[in-house]
Amino acid sequence: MKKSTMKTDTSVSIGKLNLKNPVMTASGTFGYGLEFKDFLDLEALGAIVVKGIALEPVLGNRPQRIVETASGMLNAIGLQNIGVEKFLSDKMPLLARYKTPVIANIYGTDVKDYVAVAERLADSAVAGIEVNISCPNVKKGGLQFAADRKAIIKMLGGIKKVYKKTVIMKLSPNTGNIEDIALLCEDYGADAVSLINTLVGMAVDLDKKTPVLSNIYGGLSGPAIKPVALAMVHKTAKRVKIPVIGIGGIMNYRDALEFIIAGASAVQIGTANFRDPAAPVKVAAGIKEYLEANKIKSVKNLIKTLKYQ
Amino acid sequence: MKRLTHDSQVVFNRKIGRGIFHMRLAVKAGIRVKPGQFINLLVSDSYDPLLRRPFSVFDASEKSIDIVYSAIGRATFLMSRKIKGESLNFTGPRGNSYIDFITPGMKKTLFIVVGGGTGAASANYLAKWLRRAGMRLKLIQGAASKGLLIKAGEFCKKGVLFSTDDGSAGIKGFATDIVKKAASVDSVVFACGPKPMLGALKKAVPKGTRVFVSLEEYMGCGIGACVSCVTPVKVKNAGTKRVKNSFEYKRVCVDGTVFELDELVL
Repeated sequence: MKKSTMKTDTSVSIGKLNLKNPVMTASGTFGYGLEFKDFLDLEALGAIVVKGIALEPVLGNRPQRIVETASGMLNAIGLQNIGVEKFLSDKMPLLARYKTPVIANIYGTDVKDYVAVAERLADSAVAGIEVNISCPNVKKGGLQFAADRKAIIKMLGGIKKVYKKTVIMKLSPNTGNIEDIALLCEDYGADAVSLINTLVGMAVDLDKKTPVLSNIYGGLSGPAIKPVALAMVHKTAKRVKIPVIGIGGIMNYRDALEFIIAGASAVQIGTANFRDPAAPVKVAAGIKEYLEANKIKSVKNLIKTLKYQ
Repeated sequence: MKRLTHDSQVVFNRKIGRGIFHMRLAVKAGIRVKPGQFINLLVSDSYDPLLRRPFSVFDASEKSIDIVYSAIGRATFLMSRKIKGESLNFTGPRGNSYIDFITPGMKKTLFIVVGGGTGAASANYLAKWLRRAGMRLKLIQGAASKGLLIKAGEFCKKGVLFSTDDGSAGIKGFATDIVKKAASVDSVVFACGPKPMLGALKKAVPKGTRVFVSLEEYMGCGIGACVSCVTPVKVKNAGTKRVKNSFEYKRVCVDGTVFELDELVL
């Protein structure tokens, strides 16, 4: 039998970025990337999205910061991070040794902070930024901007002026109408939107009669939230023309492909990294095998191909 | 790329106390474990439990790793049902080691090794290491009652001191009561156990005694990425202009699990 010479194309484009495959890591679950170098080939990833970076280092919340729930987990880390300067001096030079594009997730307590971090990253080796307007775990962690149309317009205006590479807006499922916010981001120059961030949740310790997390509330992630995420990605992808990056409970390549068919141009792997640190590369490999097995030339041919009965 | 994810097979999984189990895993040769390190076990193929569970290494050989655990939650209950031949995946070993803190100047030092509850697991492996290295050792284990004592490995040997809260075995009281009598400024204390025990250690030893403790915290990834399992650690030069905070959060999984007690904000 003649062997097929067809070359399977797993690459996708997000703004100005060309990714070798549609699998990225979700911010906050992949550290600064380097923590995973003994568990997977960092160059087999579409992109590395690092933990949220602020202008100044942030201590984060008091422990307990995490608790497992049914098919999921709650976290309230509180955006602990080393700050943009230390990220650029200590982490980025090591990350830059890998060919995989690095996307910096950024956040701030006010619009000015966001723009300042973006500006600081403008001339760095960082390939793009993901703007976190959706962290539910600190009083001022972006969530206050999630549905604030004026603030988003101001923020995107400011960022686009100082940052010329790819800008992704990470959206919250916790407030208002996520499609409307996505549309707004598109109108004001975002290159892509990523969704969903975690859902606000809570766990109670019955014996102690206290909240389990010191922050009381945390962000729910993991397989438990996948159906919610799929619905939001589907609704959003119907409304916007810019790429939608699907996030939420993706554990394997089949989950990832479901998001892609529902409208996502790429996906991010989050909680799965804790269970299996090699999860993102397994997802990427699984997608490639699926395409080959089904003789689909390019993963792009699968985006938004959901059939309706 | 170093491979830090491994498959293993259950060799045995014995009940050795009230709700306490001793499990031996057959691993491929060449995985080296230092005393105080832990492995992060994937307990189930389903998403319940979803996350891995970290366990201190109780003993290790060229081809096996032993853990001792208490079946207290869903994950450990599922583990207690594992039988010989079943496969378990783990990441690790991770974390620093007690022995990282041993300096050449400590050749004649008396090492007091304390295990409280299942904290006795890492104490066992450390005691074995110290004994083999020809170091002076006093091994202590404390538990709530006799049925909860871990009587395995080094704890079956002569000279081990036990305490129970109810006096059903060993002395009545806490392990720290024994430490109080044994410790001097020249001794070094290594301990693993519940937070109250670690706090009590500070008061049990003469000022200036070096105490190192292995901490347990709820972990997410167990590889240093998620910063869930943090503990507050004092910052040097705190109070100066450049150092705003008096403490910072360090990750128990990779910055520890062993810290010098004096550095911790308990």
